[in-house]
Order: sequence, then C-alpha cells, then structure tokens
Amino acid sequence: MGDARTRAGRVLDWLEVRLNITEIFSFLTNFGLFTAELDTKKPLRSALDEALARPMPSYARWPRVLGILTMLLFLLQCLTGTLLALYYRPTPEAAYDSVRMIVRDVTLGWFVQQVHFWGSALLIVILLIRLLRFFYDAIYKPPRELLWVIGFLLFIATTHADFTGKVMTFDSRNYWSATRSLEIFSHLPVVGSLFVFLAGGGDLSEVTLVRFYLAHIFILPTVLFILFYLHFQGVRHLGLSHREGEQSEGGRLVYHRYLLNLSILLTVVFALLVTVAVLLPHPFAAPPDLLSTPAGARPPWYLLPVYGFFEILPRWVPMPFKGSIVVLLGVGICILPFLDRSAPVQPSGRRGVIILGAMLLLIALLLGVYGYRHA
Amino acid sequence: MRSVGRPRIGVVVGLLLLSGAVHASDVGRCGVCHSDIRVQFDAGIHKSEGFACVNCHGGNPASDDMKIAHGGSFKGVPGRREIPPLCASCHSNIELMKPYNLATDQYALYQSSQHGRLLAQGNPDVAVCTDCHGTHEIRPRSDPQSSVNITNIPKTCGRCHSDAKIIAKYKLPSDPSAEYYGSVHAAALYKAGNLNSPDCSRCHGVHGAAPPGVGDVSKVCGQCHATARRYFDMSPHKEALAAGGNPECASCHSNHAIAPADDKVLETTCHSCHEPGSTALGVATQIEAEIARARVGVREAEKLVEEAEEVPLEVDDYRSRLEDARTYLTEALPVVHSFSVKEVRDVTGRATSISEEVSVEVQEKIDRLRWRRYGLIIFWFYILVTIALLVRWRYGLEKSAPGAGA
Ligand code: HEM
Repeated sequence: MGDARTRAGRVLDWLEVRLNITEIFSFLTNFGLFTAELDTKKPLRSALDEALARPMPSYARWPRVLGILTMLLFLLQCLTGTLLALYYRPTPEAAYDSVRMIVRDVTLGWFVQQVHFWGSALLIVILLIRLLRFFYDAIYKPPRELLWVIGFLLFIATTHADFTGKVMTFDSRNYWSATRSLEIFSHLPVVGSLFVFLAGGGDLSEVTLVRFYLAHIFILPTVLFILFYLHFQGVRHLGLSHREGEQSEGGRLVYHRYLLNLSILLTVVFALLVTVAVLLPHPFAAPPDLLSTPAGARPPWYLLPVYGFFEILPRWVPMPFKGSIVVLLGVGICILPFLDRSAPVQPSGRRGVIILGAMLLLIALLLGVYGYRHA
Repeated sequence: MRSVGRPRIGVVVGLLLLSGAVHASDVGRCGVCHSDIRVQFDAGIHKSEGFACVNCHGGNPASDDMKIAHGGSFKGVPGRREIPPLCASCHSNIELMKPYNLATDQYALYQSSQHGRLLAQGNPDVAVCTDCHGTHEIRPRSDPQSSVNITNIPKTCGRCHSDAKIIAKYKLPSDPSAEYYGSVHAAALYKAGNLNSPDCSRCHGVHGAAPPGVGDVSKVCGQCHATARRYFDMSPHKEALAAGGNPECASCHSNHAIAPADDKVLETTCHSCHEPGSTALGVATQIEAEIARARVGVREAEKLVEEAEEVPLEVDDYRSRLEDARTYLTEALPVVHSFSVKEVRDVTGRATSISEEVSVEVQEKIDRLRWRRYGLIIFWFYILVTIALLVRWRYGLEKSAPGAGA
C-alpha cells in the first residue's frame, strides 16, 4: 500500500515537472468535484493540503451531492451515447434498422441502449429535483442569480437532448410521439416556432433527422458541457451556500465525507439504473407506419403538463393565447431571481413564495395527469 | 323544344369541329338531330375505329334534310332477331377482326347457346348482343365502366336472371346474382381485387352460355381447383354421388352461393347425407381435428415469434419457416377432398412439425433472456457489499474525527 502510494507519488512528481497538474486539476474542479479554488502555482499536493486546511461549510449534506450526480450522469450519457453512435446511422431508411441492430445483434448493445434511455430520464428528474431544492433553499438570491438561470437552462437543454434522442430511434411510437410534440411546439409563440423552424418543419423528414442527430451528438452535449462548466465555476467561485445554523468544519474531514457520500449515492443510482434497464426495458416498436398512429404514442412526460393545459382550457380560448401563457410562465421561472427580490431569507421566512411554488408544482402534476389521460 | 335543342346542337357542332375533320365525313351528320345518341356513341369503342351510324342503320349521313337522310338504304332501329346477324356481319369476319385479335366464332357460339336457340324460336326474353354490350355506348371488356367488365358481369346477367318477372317463366334459380354476391368468389373479386376469381361467364361460358350439366360441374370447378379435383376423383364420393345423380362439387358447396372452405363445411354439410355415429362422420371429425390442431400450432408459433420480435430477437428465419407451414395448411384444404385421414395428416403433419420446431427454438431464445435477470442478482450482491463497505467507512470517519458530527 505504502509502496504503491510512493510509486504514484513518483509518477506525479515526474508529471509535475513537465505539466502544470495543479492547473489541470483546478480546471476539473470547475465540474463540481471539488468546490474550492486552488493555488495553481503550487504543486498539486501542497495546493490541496492548503485548500483542505481551510474550514468549509459542512457540505456533506445529501442534497449537495445532486449537483455532481447530474454531471456524472451527463458523462455516462456521453459514454453510452458514443458507443451507440458507433453503430447508429442517421437516415430515415437506415435509422430504425441500425437501432434494431444495436439492441438485437450487437453484444450488450441492448444494455447500453437501455442505460442511455433510462439515464436520460434520470438526468432530467434529478435536474428537476435540484431546481426544486434551489427554490426551496432560495439558492437564487444575490449573488447566486445565475446559478438558478443556468440550472434552468440545463434542464431545458437536457429535455431537448432527450427529445432529439427519441426521434433518432425512429420507431413508430417515438415517431408519432415526436410528431405530436412538434404540434405542441408549434403553438408556443416565438420559442416553439423557432424550434419547429430549426427542426425543419412540422413533420419528420430526412432534414429533421439529420439536424436532430447533429444536435444530439454534438450541439446539445457541447451546450450542456458549457452550461455545466459555468454552473460549477460559479459554485466554486461563490463557495457553497450556508443554511442557517450550519457550521464550518475542518476541510479535510468534510471533503472526505463528501466523497464517501457521493460514492454511496453513485453506487445506488448506478445499481438502480442497471436494474431498471434490465427489468423494464422500454419496448422497441415497429418501424413507423405513416398512415396509422399506434396506441400509446404520447408526447414525452415533460411535455404532458403543457399538453394538458392546452386540452383542459375550452376550445374557444385562442391557441396563441394559451401558448403565450406557457411561454411567459417558462420565462418567468427562468428569470425568477430577478422577480423575487425579497431579502435573502431561510425557508421559514418565505412561506408565501414557497406555497405559491408548491401550488404551481401541484397544478403542473395534475395537468400532466390530465394530459396523459387525454393524449 | 328548340331552345333546349339548340345549345346541344352547338355543343355537337363544336365537338365535330374540334375532333377534326378526319372523322367528320365518316360519322356524318346524324348527330345534328340525334345529339344524345351521338354523345353515347362517342364514348364507345366503335367511334374510335372509324365506325359510323350508317353501318348499322343505313340512310344518307351526308344530308341533314331528314327525308334525304332517312331515305334510300335507311333501316331505322333493327329488330331483336336482326341484331345478332347484324353484329356478326363484322364480328364474324376474320379479315376485319384479325387486327383486334377478336374471336370470330362468337355468333356460332351464340346460336348454340340457350339464348340463341330460344331467340330462333321467337322468344322475346332472351339476351341478344345489345342486352349485354349496350347499344351505342359499347365499351371494351377491359374498360371498368363496361357492362361486360368482369366486375359488372354479375349485375349485367342479373338484369334478367335476377328479375323475378322474367325468371318465373323458366325453371331457373331465382336470384343467382344475389347468391353470387354472398359467395367466396365475389369476396375474392370485389374485396381482394383478384381478377382471376370467376364471374358468371367463367363457369357458364360467354357467348355459348349454357348451364353446366350435373356431370360437368366438377369439370368447370376443376379448371381452377385442380388439386381438389384430383383428390376428389380418388375418393369414395366420386362414384357414390354419380350413382345418386348428384352434382359433384355443388352437393357440398352449392353452386352460386359458395361459402369459404373453412372447417365448418365439414361440420355442416356431411350431416345432410351421413347418419350420426357413422364411420363417415367419424372420418370427417378426425380430419377436422387434424386441420384444427395444425392451425392452432402454427398460430401459437406465430404468436411466440411476434413476442420474440418485440424484445427484439432475430426471427426472420422463423418467419420464413412459418410461411412454409402456412402453405402446408393451405395445401391441406384441397387434400380434404380425398376424405382420407392419412392423406390429410401427411400434409398437416408437416405444418405441425414445423410449428413445433419453431416454437421450441424461439422459446429457447426467449428463455435465454432470463440470464439477464440472473446476472442482475449477482450484480446486486456486489452492489450491496460495496454499499455496506462504503457506509461503514463513512460512519467510521465520523466517529474517529474528534468533535465531529455537529
Ligand atoms: C445529456 C445527454 C443525452 C441525453 C439526455 C440523451 C438521450 C437520449 C435518448 C432519450 C435517446 C433515445 C433512446 C431510445 O429511445 O431508445 C438517445 C438516443 C441516442 N443517443 Fe443520446 N442522449 C445524450 C447524449 C448523447 C451523446 C453525447 C451521444 C453521442 C455522442 C448520444 C448518442 C445517441 C445515439 C447514437 C442515439 C440513438 C440510438 C438509440 O436510439 O438508442 N447521446 N439519447
């Protein structure tokens, strides 16, 4: 053990002469692994010792692990996605066959595809939970406004990755689900119309597929990468937020605990992901039949509240009006930090705002159920 | 009258000018007065072959003075008995018909038919050429609008043969068209669009129309159902039916209202001759069971294949093998006419063995998927061990740290 450590130490020393390892590590800390700034002029070990000696807020609290979890899930998506992209062919004629080949003929291809699919769902859920926690703990008050905005944009960009990915499968269920979603988008002023325009029109053509492919494997991952960077850079720069009554402790212990908490959660999440991928493989439907919509072709779940909202209002309410409400609400959530300008207080002091948020969430849930029933 | 007539004349004159002077002299000026007939004539096949009114009706087509036009060789409307020879004057002319590859024995066949024979005796009810082909608007058989197009034949024949007033005078089935429309042949023709399915003329002949005699029915049916016929000829029914003076195929299948040949034919028709408890009925039940068993087997294998395809597993090979099994099932139906359990089993047995093989192999493939779940159990074992270790480490950390756990 001691031997190995010194050997690793020797390798590090060798590298440190040739590269600024501290600089590299410091860059990586911008992705959430370690949330303190390092002195990049010092060798890695002394820089770390110095940073860990500083007292830190007891950031081993569970919800704080969610941040790095989203980043790791994103990396998992990139890993599984790259494997899928080795066999995937982005043309309407070949897409379905290539996905079928992945899940049927390639060794463990089914597993990679299922993990990619469920990983996507999990990532969106965790990003959403994280936004809820930010809201509850008011982690959008100055100077953390941008953390909220970026967190929201992360959520939106990830749903886009999910959406474009499902279209790429090009089986009948996803084909029709996407066709119906594009219809919903087309009713949203400005943003929705822009999306439909970028998608190449209201129905899925070769153009749509190629654009979605490009967006899915290049543009959106890059955008997500930049957003994650900005987000964790901000967190590192501002330091972790404090809750009332939370104390600072010796950094080394806190960090050690944080890493262990992370490992435990990561193991559980990974195990759940694998289990769901094996036990609940999402079915792979027939190739799209352009003349008949298969049963169960609904918009993806994160669009159902919007769909439910459109459906529950009477028909005489003009569509552009309904669409505008949805867009305004989205924009409102995005710029929440600039709307809720009350003094930064703990949850107990902002009961009104929290009740309002909870009601919105409940309404969204009910609309989602309504949308599911009527889709 | 005139104000109604004038625009029509205008249209016809316009048409004449438009259609070019080429045919104007051939067709003549009859249409100036008989504009409605002219419109019908223009829609038919004769017009495009340079045929004109004068060829059937005589007269002078060059004049629009009625006296001159209707003078000379003018025949007016030909009588019913004159029609067949009139048509035949061209249609039996080998030289004239050669370019169209049309048969020239139609008039001879017509004269030999029941229609022709009764016409010769002065019967006013029977069909002459124009009753089936139309008068002025005669379209070729290939034209879907033609009254003799295969899809319209049952209606055309039915105009007389399903007219109760006419048919009551003769010893003929009362409504054969309606029976035909309910038959498996009509379903094949109209629903599946199979133009090889028989219309009336396929069994009864075209111009030589005559009912097939009792002995001829199996010859007519056997033209298409050759295999069924071969097995039937080997069966004990062949002699038994002939001895009783019963028609071969129609005794079980009826003539015009032929039902689809499913298992029920055995169930319903055998009883009409065979006593309950007889060996014959025993054989029928056995044959029925053989076919049903094979069919159920194939259907179950197909379901299993569909299930596997949804996983998805590779099933193309199984699909093509089941296709073979389906073919054997289809082949088994004509073999039923042998009324021999052994012959039927020879064919259904092949379908059964294919479907059994396929079922076993596909089931094996599906069962192999279970390993994924067994793998999961092992996976969770390691996960739980890892979590336990991590948790121990985590809380050990807390304890060993002095003053921690605030
Ligand atoms: C946050 C990132 C990502 C998310 C949320 C995401 C989500 C998805 C989803 C939901 C599917 C559809 C799976 C299905 O319905 O079966 C999919 C398919 C796919 N993804 Fe991603 N993905 C992400 C990143 C990537 C990356 C980075 C790549 C490649 C470099 C990639 C490559 C693919 C490919 C090739 C497919 C098509 C094959 C298939 O349908 O299984 N993905 N993705």
